[in-house]
Amino acid sequence: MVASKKSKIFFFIIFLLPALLLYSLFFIKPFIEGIHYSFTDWNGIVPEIPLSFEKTEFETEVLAKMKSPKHLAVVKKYYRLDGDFYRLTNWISEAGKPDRQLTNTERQKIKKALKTVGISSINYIGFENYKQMFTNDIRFIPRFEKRFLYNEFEDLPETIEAKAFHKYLLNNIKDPADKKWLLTKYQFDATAKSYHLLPYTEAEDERLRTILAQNMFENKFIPGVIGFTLFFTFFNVVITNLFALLLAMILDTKLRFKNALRSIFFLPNVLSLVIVAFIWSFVFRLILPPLTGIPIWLGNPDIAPIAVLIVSIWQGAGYLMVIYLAGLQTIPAEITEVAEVDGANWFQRFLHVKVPLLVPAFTICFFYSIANSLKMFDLIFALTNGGGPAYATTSIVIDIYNNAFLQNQFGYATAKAIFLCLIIIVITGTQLFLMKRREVEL
Amino acid sequence: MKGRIVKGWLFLVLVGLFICNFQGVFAAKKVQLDLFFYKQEIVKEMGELTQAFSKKYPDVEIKLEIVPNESMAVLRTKMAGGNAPDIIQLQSYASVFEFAKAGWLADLTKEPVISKVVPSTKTAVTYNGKVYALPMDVAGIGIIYNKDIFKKYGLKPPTTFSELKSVCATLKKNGVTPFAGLFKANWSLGHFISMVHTSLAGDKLMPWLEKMNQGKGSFADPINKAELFKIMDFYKANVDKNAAEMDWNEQQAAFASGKAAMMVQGLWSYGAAIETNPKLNCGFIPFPTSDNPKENKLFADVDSTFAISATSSPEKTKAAKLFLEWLATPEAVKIWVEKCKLVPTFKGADVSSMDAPFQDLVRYLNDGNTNPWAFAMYPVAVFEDACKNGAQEYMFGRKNADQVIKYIDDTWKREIKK
Repeated sequence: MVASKKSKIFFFIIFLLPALLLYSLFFIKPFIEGIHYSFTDWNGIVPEIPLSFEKTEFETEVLAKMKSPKHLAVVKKYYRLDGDFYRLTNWISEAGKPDRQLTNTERQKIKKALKTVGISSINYIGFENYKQMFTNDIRFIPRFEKRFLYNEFEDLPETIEAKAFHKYLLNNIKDPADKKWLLTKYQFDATAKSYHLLPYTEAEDERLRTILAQNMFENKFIPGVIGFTLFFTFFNVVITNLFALLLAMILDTKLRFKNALRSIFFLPNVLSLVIVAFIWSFVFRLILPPLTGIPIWLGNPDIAPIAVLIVSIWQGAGYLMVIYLAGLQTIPAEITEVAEVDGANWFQRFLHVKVPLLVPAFTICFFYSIANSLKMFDLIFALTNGGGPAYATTSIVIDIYNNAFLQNQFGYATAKAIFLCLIIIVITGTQLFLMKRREVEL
Repeated sequence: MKGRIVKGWLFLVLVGLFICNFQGVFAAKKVQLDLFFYKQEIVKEMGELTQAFSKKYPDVEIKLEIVPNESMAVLRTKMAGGNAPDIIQLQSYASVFEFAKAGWLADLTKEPVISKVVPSTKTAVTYNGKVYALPMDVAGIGIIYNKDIFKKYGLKPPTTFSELKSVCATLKKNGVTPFAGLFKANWSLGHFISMVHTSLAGDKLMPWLEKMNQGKGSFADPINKAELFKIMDFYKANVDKNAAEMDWNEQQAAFASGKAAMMVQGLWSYGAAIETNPKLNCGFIPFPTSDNPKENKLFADVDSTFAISATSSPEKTKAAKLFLEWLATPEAVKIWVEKCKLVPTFKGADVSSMDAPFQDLVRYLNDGNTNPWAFAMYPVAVFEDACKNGAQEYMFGRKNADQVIKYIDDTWKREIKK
């Protein structure tokens, strides 16, 4: 049955129009407001309208300058003198009624009136926020950092690898006398390719410690917030999808316990990420160190990003597996059988028959995991105490949170959020464009 | 028939829901106050305190809300969203000043309860000559040490940095970790860097702070930069091996079990440690930074305060003031001292029942042998972000000494520009 034009209009008004209105109310409007805030120096704590003014300030800056009698009446009505201050009467008591707070329209009126004399809690600063992101935010962009490798209160290292000894220590010492002296204390051992500490006296101990503490450093690449987010996104998307596809293919065969296994692999997805984080922090502290020999996982800035990645993959693979499984099951058995009859081996059947038919599933899974990885917040927040150790696992969203709530830079944080939104739109847009073209219809 | 029964039930449920909704109107006499606090070590005790209050004043009910680590963040969103809590527990100095400056706090200068606190504690809550909060407890940050372990190895509590070094060396030789560490959360390291900085700065602290707030000077000005970071290195070399993964609970556990002989902590942590191991025998001393024992003062000041929101309705403000008034009564002080284990600020409060470390703290306070909590006087973002994260990044080798100092300076300049 084809719907008539009249009924189409009817359905549009009943179903689509409300949806569109709600969409513009809850997405478009906040988004535009976000762009607007990203050009301001809003610090989040200053109230929309000042709650009090000093007496002289109010008289000279507001009352004297305000021209319109209408605005003046508004300001005079709501600000009352109390000691040395003019205070906003936030609660209004009217005869016969319970006390009530200022209504929104009244607030807007006051705001408008104060704006005419240049008093507002938010000022425009142009592109300053966007500039700051790339020039004046040392945690945001990737960089090189001098990292000292020895702390003078630690025991002196007994052996140092020859390569490290030259690169991190010998090349950094400027004074040739120190260099020469150090080589008499550390002896080269050709078989082990390392330098050994020779016995030393109490007085030499001091000099050795100072030399090592001041000169033993490396120039380490620190990925910064952007670097970490991109690293996390890339590996999370690739490995999670690989695992999910592998699991889906295994579970698509005639396995005996496949239903039970499907539930087991999907289970991590049902758990809340915060619970997952707690479970895994035990695993990283009590189970993995004796198994792998790496003593510290979540507390080591170099390893923590990998630890976060592992948990994220474990948690995310189950969900994508379900999508791939659904994709695999829509492929009719006849097609693969035909290919088999034609003499295609297992790998050829997979590459030339199944993969092209799975492209719609790839599109969805990639889109989902890219957008989710770029926005990763809760898992990292719970797992590494809000992006620790030492900012090593701070994703862009956590950085936005820190900017806003720890550093009082709400405007700047909003600018970063807009920047993130643009990145997500560009990356997922390109991905969708490229993959949609490769989808085949049966 | 069946359908009618179902409909009848539905109707009843709806009416029930409707009535429940309006219960607020029926019980309008009861004033409900929201109390927002951040001290995670007294969650249970705050409940007892407010219950005791409600028993005396049955028409006021206090609803508690605890936000331990991100309290300032939550508070700001609450304020911005227009539902400020009626009674707010704030950290002394900068937090009080920040909210007072923005106009969110009610002026308490003329309240009778303010005259009952020790006058010297009022500086922590006075902004532009007006008192905006009630100082509640005095706390100290220093070394809490295990007297039994010290006795076992014949050690005396160190009074100078050299002595501390030799104490640590002896402990290490005997397989005891000198300090129970806490590097996972950044706040403890923030306290540490500020404590050492203040102690090294000595008399130069106040003039330096003034200069900083005018936009001049640097964090490194009043001290020898190398000395500050030397002490940081020293601390790093003497904590647990896996301090990077230890949070507050684990630090307490390591100290209480005797695995570590000392911890650099505020005295508020003592309660948790003693709860884990009631046989613990502790003492409390300043963290020595100098080799002159007279320069090593205890880092102690007003910690928490209670403020009242300026946007609460008049009747709620009245009830909130009643609560603050009640806190000064002997009944409330007793709960504060015995249950919460916090040193009160009220004049003549009885603290004789408190354990030995608190007596140590009170002795230092009475002798005037203390340094003020400089970190509470830094602009909020300087401490919350630059000091805490900066110190943590230094410990993990992500920033070097100059970068930490530059980051603190930059943040400071940005904050005072507002």
